[in-house]
Amino acid sequence: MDMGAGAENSAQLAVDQVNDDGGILDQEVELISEDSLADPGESMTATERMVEQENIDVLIGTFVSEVTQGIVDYVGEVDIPFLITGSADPITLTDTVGEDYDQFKNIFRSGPINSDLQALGMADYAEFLADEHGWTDFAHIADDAAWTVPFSENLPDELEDRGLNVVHEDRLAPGTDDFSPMLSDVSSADADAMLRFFAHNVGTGMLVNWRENEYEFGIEGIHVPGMSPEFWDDSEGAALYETTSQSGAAGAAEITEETVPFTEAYVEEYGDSRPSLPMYMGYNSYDAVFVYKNAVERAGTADYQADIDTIVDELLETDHTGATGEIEFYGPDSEYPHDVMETEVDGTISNFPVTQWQDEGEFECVFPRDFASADHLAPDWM
Amino acid sequence: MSSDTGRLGGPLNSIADGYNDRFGQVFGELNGLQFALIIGSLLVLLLVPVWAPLLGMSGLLRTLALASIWAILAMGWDIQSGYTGYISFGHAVLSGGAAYTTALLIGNVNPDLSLAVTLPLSVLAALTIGLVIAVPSLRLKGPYFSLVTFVAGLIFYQLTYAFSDYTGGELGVRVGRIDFTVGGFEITTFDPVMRYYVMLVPMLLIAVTLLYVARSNVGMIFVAIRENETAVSAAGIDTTKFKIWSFVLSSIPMGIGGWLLAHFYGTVNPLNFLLVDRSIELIAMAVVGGMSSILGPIGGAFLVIVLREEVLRIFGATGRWVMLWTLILLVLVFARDGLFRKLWHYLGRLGSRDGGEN
Repeated sequence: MDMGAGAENSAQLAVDQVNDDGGILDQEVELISEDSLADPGESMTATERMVEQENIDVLIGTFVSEVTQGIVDYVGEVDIPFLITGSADPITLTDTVGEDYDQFKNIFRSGPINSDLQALGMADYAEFLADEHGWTDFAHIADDAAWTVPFSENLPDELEDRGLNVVHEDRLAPGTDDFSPMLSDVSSADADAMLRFFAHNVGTGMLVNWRENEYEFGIEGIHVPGMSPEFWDDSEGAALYETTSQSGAAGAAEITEETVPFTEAYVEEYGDSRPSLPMYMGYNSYDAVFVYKNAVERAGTADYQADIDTIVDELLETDHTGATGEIEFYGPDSEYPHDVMETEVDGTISNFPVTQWQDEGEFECVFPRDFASADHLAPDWM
Repeated sequence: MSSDTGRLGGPLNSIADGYNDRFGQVFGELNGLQFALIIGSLLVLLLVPVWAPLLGMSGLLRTLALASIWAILAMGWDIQSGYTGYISFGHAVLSGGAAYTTALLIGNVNPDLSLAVTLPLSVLAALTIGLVIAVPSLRLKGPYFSLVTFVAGLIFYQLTYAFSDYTGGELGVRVGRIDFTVGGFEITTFDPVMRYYVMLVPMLLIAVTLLYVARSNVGMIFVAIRENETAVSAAGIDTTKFKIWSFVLSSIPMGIGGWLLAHFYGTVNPLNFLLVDRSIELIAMAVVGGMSSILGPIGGAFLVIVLREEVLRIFGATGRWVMLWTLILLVLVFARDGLFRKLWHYLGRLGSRDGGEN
C-alpha cells in the first residue's frame, strides 16, 4: 500500500544521502525491505530472516500495531535496535520497555508521537477550531480497533476539560460501507465538527454523502487513507475540506529546515510513482535513519550484540532536527519510556500537524498556526 | 526399467521386509522404495541443522519448524475430514481455540504459567470446542455440516473482537516463546535449532500415533462412513458415535499444533489463528499431499510452506500468495488424489516384485 511504499522510498532516500556522505561509521549502508503484509506472522518470520540471515544492524518501520506487537518479544530477545516509525499505540512501548527495561531497552519510537499524546494534540486542534470558527460541539467517531482506544479513552474528557462539548460518540466496525446512519446521527446531535479516526475505514463514501447532504459540520481528526497524496484523485475530489493530522504535514509547511528539502528530494526521485509524497511514515522513516546514524557514530559502534547498552545510551541522547521536527526521546523512567517527545509551540503540540485538502487537490498545513501554510477552511455550505 | 528397479529394489526390499514383519500389520506394509522414501525423509528432517547451514540455507530451520506445526494441523484435519468425508471448513477454530486458551491464561491469569498447565488446558479446550461443534452438527449431511463448521469459524473470529478486553482484539496477546529446563539443560525456542526440534518431534510422534489409529479398525470404520454411511449403519454400527470419535481424535493434534503455533509466533491474534483463510490453508495442505493418508498431509504441509516461504519468494511478498494458490488450484484440477499419494503409488508400482498395485 501507499504508506509502506512511501516509507521504503524515504528510507532509501535517507540511505542514499548517508552513503553520499560517507556512510555510517565509514561503512556503506544497505537498505533491506520486507513487506509485512500487515500480518504479524509474516512480519515475525521476515524479521527473523533479516536478523539471522541478512545480518541487519537496525530495524526501522512497522505501521500496523499488531505487527509491532508481534515482533517485540523477538526483537527484545536479540537486542537489535528497533525504531518504530509508524504505529502509535503507546502500549507497544509501555508494555515492553516500561515493564521490563533490561529485556526491551533496544526498542524506541522515533515518530509519530504516541496516540495518548496525539489525543492531547487533537484537543489543542479542537481549541483552535473553536477560536477560528466558533465550533464548540464535537462528535467523536472511531474505527473499532485497538489504535483508536487511546483517543476514545482520553479525548472526550480532555475536550470537556477545556470547555468544549462532546455531543456524540460512536465506534465503526472496520469495513463499514454505509456511513449515512452515522452521518445523520452526527447531524442530529448538532455537532460543529466530527473528529473521526479512520485507518481501516476508507471514508470516501462518507465524504460524498457529507457533501451531497451539505451536512453542517466539518470532518476533522485522523484519516489514514486520506493521507495518501493520491487520495484527491482516488476520491474524485470528494476529499475537499477533510483534514487529517500527519507527521511531516505532507511537506506543505516548513516544520524545520529539513522538511521541505526532504520533500523536494522525494518528489524528484519518486514523484512519478505512488505515493508521490512520502506520507507520514516516510517522514518518520527518513528521520529514523539519521537518528540511528548519529547515535551509533557517537557510540563508535554498530555492533548491537556486543554493545547494545552503549547504543541505547546514545539513542537516549538524541537531539536531532528531522523533517518531522526536533526529535528527542523520553527517558527510561518516564511515563512513555523511549517514546519520541512531543514538541510545543505557544502551548500547543507542534509535531502533530494537521493538513487539509483544499482547492485543486492541494494539501495545506492548517495547524499549528506557527507554520501553517493556509487558513483552515470550513466547508463552503456551512 | 524392470531391471533397474530389480537392482534397486532388492536390498531395499529385504530391509523393508524386516519392517513389514514387525510393524506391517500396524502401520501398513511397504515395499523397498516406499521404505526408502520414509527413512530418507526422516533422516533429511532430523539432520536439517547439519545440512542446512552447509548449503547456506539456515533460514530453512525456521521454515521447516513452521511446516512441522502445519503438518500437525493438516494431519489433525485429515483424521476427521479426510477419513470420514465430513469436510470441516472451520478447523482453525480448534487450533485457534487452543492458542487463545494459552493466551488467556498467560495474559489474564499469570504470565509465568508453565507449559505443564497451558498445554493440557489448551488441548482440553480444543477437545471441548471440537465436541461442541461435532455433537449437534454431525447429524447434518453434505454441505450443511461443512457450512456449520465454516460459520463456527466466523463466530470465533468475531468473538476475539467482541471480548477485546481479554483477547486484545486485533493486537492479540503476547505469549512468548517456549522456555523450560530439562535436567539442567535449558530448552528455548529463541534458539533456531532447538525450536526446530521442539516442533519436529511432536509432529513425528503425532504422525506415528495417527497412522496407527488410521490403520486400525477405527480408521477402517471412518473410511467406510465416507464410502457408504448407510451400509455402515446397516451393519449395526453407530456412525454418529464414530464421527464424534473422529472429532476427538482430530482435536488433540489440533490443540497441540495450536499451542505450538502460539509459541512459534509468540503472539496469538485473530489474523494468524482464526481467520477463515487458516482453515482453508490447512485443507489445501492435506489435499495437495493426498487426504485420508496422514503421510500425505505431512508432505503437503512441507511442500506448501517451503514453496510459500522459500521458493515462491521470487514473486514478491504478495505475488507468492497468488502463485501458491494457483499451484494449489492446479493440483486440485490435475492431481486430485494428491501429489504424495501419486508418488506413493508410483513407488508402489515401481518397487513391487510382482508388478501389481501395492
